[in-house]
Amino acid sequence: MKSNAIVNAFMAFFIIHTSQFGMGILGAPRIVYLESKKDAWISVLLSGIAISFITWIMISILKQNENRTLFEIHENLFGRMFGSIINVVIVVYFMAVHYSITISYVELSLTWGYEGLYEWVGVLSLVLITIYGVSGGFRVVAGICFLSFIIFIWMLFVLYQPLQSLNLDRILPILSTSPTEIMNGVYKSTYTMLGFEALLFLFPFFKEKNKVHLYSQLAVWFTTFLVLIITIFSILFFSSKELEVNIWPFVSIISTIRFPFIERFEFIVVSIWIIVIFPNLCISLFLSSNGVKQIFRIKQKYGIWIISIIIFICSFFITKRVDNDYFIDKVAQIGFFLWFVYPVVLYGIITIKSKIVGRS
Amino acid sequence: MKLRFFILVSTLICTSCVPPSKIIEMQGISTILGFDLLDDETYKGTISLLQFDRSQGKTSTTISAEGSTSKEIRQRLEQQTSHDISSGQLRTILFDKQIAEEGLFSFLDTMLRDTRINPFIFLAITDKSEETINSKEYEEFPEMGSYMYQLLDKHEKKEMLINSNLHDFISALYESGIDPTLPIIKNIKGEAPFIEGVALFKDDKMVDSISLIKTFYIKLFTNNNAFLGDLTLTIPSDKLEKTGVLISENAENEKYKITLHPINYQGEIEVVNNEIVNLNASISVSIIEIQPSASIIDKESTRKLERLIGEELNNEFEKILEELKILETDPIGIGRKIKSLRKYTHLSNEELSEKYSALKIMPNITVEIKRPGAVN
Repeated sequence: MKSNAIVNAFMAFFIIHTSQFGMGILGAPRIVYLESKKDAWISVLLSGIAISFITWIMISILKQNENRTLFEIHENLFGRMFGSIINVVIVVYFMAVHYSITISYVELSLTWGYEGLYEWVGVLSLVLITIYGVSGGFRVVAGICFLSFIIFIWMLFVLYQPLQSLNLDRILPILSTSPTEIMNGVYKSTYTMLGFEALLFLFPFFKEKNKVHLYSQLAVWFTTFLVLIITIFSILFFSSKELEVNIWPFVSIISTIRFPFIERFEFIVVSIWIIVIFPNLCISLFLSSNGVKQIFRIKQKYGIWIISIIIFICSFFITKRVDNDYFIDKVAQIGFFLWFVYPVVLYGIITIKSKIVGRS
Repeated sequence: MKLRFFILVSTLICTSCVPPSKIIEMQGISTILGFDLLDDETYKGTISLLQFDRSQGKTSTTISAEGSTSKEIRQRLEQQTSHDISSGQLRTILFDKQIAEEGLFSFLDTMLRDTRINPFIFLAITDKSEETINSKEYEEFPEMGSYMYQLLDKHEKKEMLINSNLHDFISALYESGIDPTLPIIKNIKGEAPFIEGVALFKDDKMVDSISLIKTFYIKLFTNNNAFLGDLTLTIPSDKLEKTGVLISENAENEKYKITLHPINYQGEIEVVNNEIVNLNASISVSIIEIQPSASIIDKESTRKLERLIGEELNNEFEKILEELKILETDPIGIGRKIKSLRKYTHLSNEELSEKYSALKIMPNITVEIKRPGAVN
């Protein structure tokens, strides 16, 4: 089997972190807060621990199948027919993720500044730029992830301005909600945290395989840390009812930032956010087209075009806030079962199978 | 390669498909907006528009319209001007007292939904907002909106006004256990509008007002990082004499006036038990004026003077607290502090306000005189 390892292991940090971090974070504090109230940050932390564990499971699966993506593992494990069925589910999932990111960004930019534009115009420009990025192959996608990280990360430092509006009383008392509510919060935080599953598909591309685990763990913990900080910030910044009604609490926090030379900083942030979601879009399109290539044995570029056209057509039908909400919610649910539950099951199957094969 | 170039070009073209461009000469930039209650359902809205047309002598115009919601008023205002009214530079919203007494919440909904409105917009109460906006007295500023913004902004940053922008107001309104406050603007013919006092709210309804100077005490506990204005105290001379402060010999005044300039401060609400709440604050000040002149010489007299000033402040604060309790309004946020304790976290709003009126609130302000200025 020919090796297609083309990027260094440390790139795993940027790729996994940027594919996790995106649209979800803008609304996540509210979504989690609706479930677990003042203890939303505990939910985020627990969810981070769970992801760390699942990353370990994923690496264990991949170590046994080096140089195979999950699509190939499925075919190998369940046979071409049954494996392909699972792969189709995964491809559809990634397409749904791709669309959910696209439409939520378009919705955001229509609310902040571009009101009156047709959704399909926004979707078309995002789709085209993503095709452009993904056509360059995985190396370009990895580069996009790296650049996106560098371009975004400074933005955290502007949060020093709202610091004085924080009120510590709002988060106290700690642990006032019931364990059930906290667990519901964990469940709701998954949409923000998803993205680490990219590891399952990108593992063969990394050079030093033994170092990938370390960098993936760093990436998921860094994401958890950012989500945690932003969640705590939102809880301290908004009063409880205010947080419950703000669709994008993070943008609302940013909107209180101003500089002498720029008054409405949130408009800059909303525009720059396209760079934050760009890796998300590229990776989900790359993975789904990779799946199409695996299932139908066609060139990846046909997959890219077919999927992009489907995404574009969708943008004529699912555009309203309530529909989007429902759609994103469903994607989050499926994502939870696919990437929080399924890897553990898969690990079980693989271990049992290797024992049986080993015995005979 | 050709295909990729095509994609890149279309990406660039697509992003220019934005809705109608905004030309600055066509914009009527609203800087201040005022609402008056006419009768039950109708309001009158007045705005001041900044204009960029050089050929016209005046820099602003004000127009008014009636309607039942703020967006309806806006539509009718559009009928009266050829300019496109934009609210991106809106800095102040005025409400007349009647609206404030009936409740502001219904107006604030639209401000939250509209992303063009800055969360730093100031809210204020006035007697008749139409007259205030129409007033021609606005110092050297080009129009009323800029003047009003500068007035409120300066006061919030440098003097005693409690934060009164949209974000702070909504935040306090939505939170259980703290009530918002807003400045009151007074408009007298022939004078530029000025800040008269501070309105106290219970939920979104205005209940009473206090003088600006009294908000000093509220600011101590609500904002940790603000500037406090100067404070003048009147102290009977016999009390002052006991502290050992050297009083000038020829003076035979009965009262002394001391003006303090707070340097920094720290306020903390301490819930002692079920019935008692302590409001602890420590302020370090410098003395900027003593009338008539007196000098503070040694450590002992300084300490006595500190205690005396502290007592004076506590006495006054106690009176204000009584007043607030009678009005059942809690701008300091004592309820919020109570609610943050595990024991009381499940209290409902009604229970919380019941608890608040039954509380014994003890002010405990300590003063530290850092320096007496350039002379002793």
